[in-house]
Amino acid sequence: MLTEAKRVTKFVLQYFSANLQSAMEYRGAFLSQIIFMFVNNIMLLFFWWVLFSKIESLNGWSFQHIMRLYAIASGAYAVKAILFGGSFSLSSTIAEGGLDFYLALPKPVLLHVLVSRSFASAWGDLVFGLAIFLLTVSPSIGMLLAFVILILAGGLVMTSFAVIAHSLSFWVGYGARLADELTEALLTFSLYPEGIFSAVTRWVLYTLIPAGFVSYLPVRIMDEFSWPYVGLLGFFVLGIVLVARFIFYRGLKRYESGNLVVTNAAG
Amino acid sequence: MQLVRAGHLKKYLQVAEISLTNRVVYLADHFASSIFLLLILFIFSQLWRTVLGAGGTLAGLDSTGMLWYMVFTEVIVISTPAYHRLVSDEVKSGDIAYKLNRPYSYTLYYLAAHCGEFAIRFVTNLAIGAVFAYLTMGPLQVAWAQLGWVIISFSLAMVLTFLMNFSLALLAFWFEDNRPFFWIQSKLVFIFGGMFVPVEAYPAGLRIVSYLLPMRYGVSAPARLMVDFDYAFLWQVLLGQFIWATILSLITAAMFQKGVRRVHVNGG
Repeated sequence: MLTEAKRVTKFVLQYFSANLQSAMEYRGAFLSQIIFMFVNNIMLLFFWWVLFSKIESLNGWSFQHIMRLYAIASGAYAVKAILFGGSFSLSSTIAEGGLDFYLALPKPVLLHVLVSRSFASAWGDLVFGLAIFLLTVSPSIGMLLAFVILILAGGLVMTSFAVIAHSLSFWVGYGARLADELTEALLTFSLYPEGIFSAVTRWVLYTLIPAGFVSYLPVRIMDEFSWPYVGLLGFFVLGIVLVARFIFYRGLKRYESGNLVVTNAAG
Repeated sequence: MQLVRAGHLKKYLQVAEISLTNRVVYLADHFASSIFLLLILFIFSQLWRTVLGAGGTLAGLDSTGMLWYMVFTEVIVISTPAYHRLVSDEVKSGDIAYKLNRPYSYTLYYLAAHCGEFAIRFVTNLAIGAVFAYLTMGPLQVAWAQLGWVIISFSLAMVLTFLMNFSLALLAFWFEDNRPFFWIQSKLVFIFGGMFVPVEAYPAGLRIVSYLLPMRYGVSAPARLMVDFDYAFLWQVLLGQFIWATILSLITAAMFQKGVRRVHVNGG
C-alpha cells in the first residue's frame, strides 16, 4: 500500500517536473502568462473592493474573508490546472478515442490522463493565491503548510468533480460542453461567499456542486480552526476522489476505441 | 473608410442579414451557451438581495434595479461577436489582400456583420436574462415613452464596441501578436465599463477616469439609462457616445489606410 502510494507520488512528480521544464523552455511566454493571470485575478477582487467600500460586512464576511476565499479558490484551481491539467479535456479524450494511448501503457489510466497536461498560466493563479494569503494572515511556516494542504484538498475536489462531469461522455457521447458548464459553475460558486446564498443553495453547494469544500470550509478552517471541520474536509475529499475513480473506471468498461489516427509522443 | 452612398447601403444591410441568419441557424447552440449568464445572474440576485435588502440602494439603484442593470451590461458584453479575431487572422495571414479588391468597404462589411450578429445575440440573451430577472426580482419599470432614446443609445454602444475591437484587430498590421491588447481591453471593460456595478458607485478618482474612457459609453451608460431613465443623463451619454464614435472612426480609418500600405502579397 505504502509502496504503491510512493510509486504514484513519484509518477505525478515526474510528470510535474517534465511539464514544468517544457513550460520553462519558452521562459518569456511562461512569465508573461503568469503576470497576465495574476493581474486578471486582481481585477476580480476590484468588484469586492468597491462593494466593501460601501458596506461593513456581508452576513459575517469581511473583505479580509473574501481575500482568503480568493486565495484558496485560485490556489485550488492552480493545483488542478498544474498537476491535473488533463482533467480539462477528459471528455474530448474519451470521445475522440484518445484513451487508446493510455490503455496501452503500464500506468493507472485515469491518473496518467490527468497528469499528462499542465497549464503554465495557472502558476499565475498559484502566485496570486499565495500573495493574497500572505496579505491576510501573519505569515509562519505553520500557516504556509496549512495553505498548501487546503489548496491541495480544494484542488482534489475540483479535479474529482471534473472527472465525474467529463466521465458522462462514456454514456452520453460528446459531453464536453455539459462538463465545461458544470466545472465552470463549481469555480464560479467557489469565488462568492456562502453568506450571500439561501439555505437551499448552500445545501447544493455542499453536495451537488461542492464549492463549499473547495473554498468555504477551508476559509472557515483558517478563520476558526477545529478538528471536526478538518475531519469533514478530509472525509469529503477522500469520498469524492473514490467516487470519481469509480465512475471513470465504470465508464471505461463502455469505452470503444476511436478510429482517429493520431500520433502521441510519451513525455 | 469608404463613404456609404444610399445605393450601397443595401448590400451592407444584406451582409447584416446574412450574419443574423447564420446565427439563427445555430440558435439551440446559442441558448446552451447562455447557461453562464443564468449562473452569474443567479449569484448576483442572491448577492444584491443580501446586500441591499428591502430598502437599500447602491448608486441610486435598489436590488431589483441592480440585477436588471447587470442583465443589460452582461447581455451587451456576451452578445458582442468576435469578428476582431477573424480580422486579426486575415491581417496576419495576408488574406486581407484578397478582400480589398472586392466591391465593398472592408470596414463597413465587418461593421454590418457585427451589427447583424449582435442584434440576434442581444435579443436572445436579453430574453433569457429578462425572464430570469423578472422571475427572481420582479419587473423593471420601463420608461416606454423614452424607449426610442434608449434604443439609440444601445445602437451607438454596439457601434462603439465594434470600433474598439476593430481598431485593436488592426494592430495586427504592426504587432505579431495583438492578443494582449484585447486582454487589457477586456479588463478595462470590466472595470471602467461597470460590468457588475454602475461606475457611479466608484470612488471619485476612478469615476472620473471612467467618464473619460469609451468603455463606460459602450456598456454601463446604456444599461443605466434603461433601468433609470433621466433626460440629463441621456444627453450626457449620447454626447459621450457621439464623441467617442467620431474619435474611434477617425483612428480606425487612419490605421486602416496606413496598415493596408504595409500589406505584401506573396506569390499573388
